[in-house]
Amino acid sequence: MTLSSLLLGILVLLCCAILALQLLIISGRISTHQAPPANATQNIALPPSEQGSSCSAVQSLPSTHSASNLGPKCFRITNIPPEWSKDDLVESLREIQPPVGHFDGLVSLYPACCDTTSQTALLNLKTFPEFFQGIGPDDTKHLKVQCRGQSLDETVLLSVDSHFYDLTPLNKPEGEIVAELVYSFAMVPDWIYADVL
Amino acid sequence: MLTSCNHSIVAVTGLAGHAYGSWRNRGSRQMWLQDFLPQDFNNVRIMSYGYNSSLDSDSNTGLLDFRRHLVQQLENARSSNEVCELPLKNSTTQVTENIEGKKPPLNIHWAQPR
Repeated sequence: MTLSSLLLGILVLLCCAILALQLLIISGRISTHQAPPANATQNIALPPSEQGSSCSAVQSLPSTHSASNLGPKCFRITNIPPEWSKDDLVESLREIQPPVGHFDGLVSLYPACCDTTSQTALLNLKTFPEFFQGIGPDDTKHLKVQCRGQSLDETVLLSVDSHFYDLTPLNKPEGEIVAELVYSFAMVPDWIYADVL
Repeated sequence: MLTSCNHSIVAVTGLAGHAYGSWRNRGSRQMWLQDFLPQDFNNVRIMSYGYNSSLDSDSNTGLLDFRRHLVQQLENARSSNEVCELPLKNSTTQVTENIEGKKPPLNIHWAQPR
């Protein structure tokens, strides 16, 4: 009887320890997401005096978290027209209101995974302009920009996120793709090579 | 180095991972799937798959849903005529085994860090 009570007590202590550890992990995650600045989560729309400009931005999904402005971060931009170059994309992003100003990051442009009529860009920013600060971990923002070289009526709706859900292209391959190799890893390895035999 | 094969490599992080950040060095900020792997695999399409499995997520999505969604995404990504005629059986099996925690496929080499 005494032994069983002792074991039961140890079991209860272990459960409490595990629960406390999970709470610590969750609270640590939440504390890393600082409170958004007052102007970071608001919808970004053109002021009335600039309605004729070629770019506007609206927030499509409610922001549940705020992006941190500390350190570099990578954003994914999808639904880019296939004829656009990196310069076209950067020029379009410069027209975001409020102005983005100087881009201090890197832009990579790849063909989309599931759509042959669009491209996907990876935008690595060292400092975040105001528009990107409002993109939380689970948020997706939409940017309505004018097609480069097109008439004012031609607009494109770009999607910007940092969660990278679904497939994201990471290179621009040559030739036709004839097979997929899918590997998932419980831990991130240092270097992995897949034999394709 | 692969030069004659055209394949896709899809990297899937573990639970609560990030499709981009989990593969990036915190110091140099370089992402090896994007910055290094393409140098060794010329004709391979490299992709990363992300899914929301964080602890503080409100989503009720389970592992089976993640697996189905990944397979559906792969089917959508198979654009060439040759690929469309191939079944997805092998890929599906590998995804299932890995997400359920079984050993990785035999054609994977775990190389030593450089």
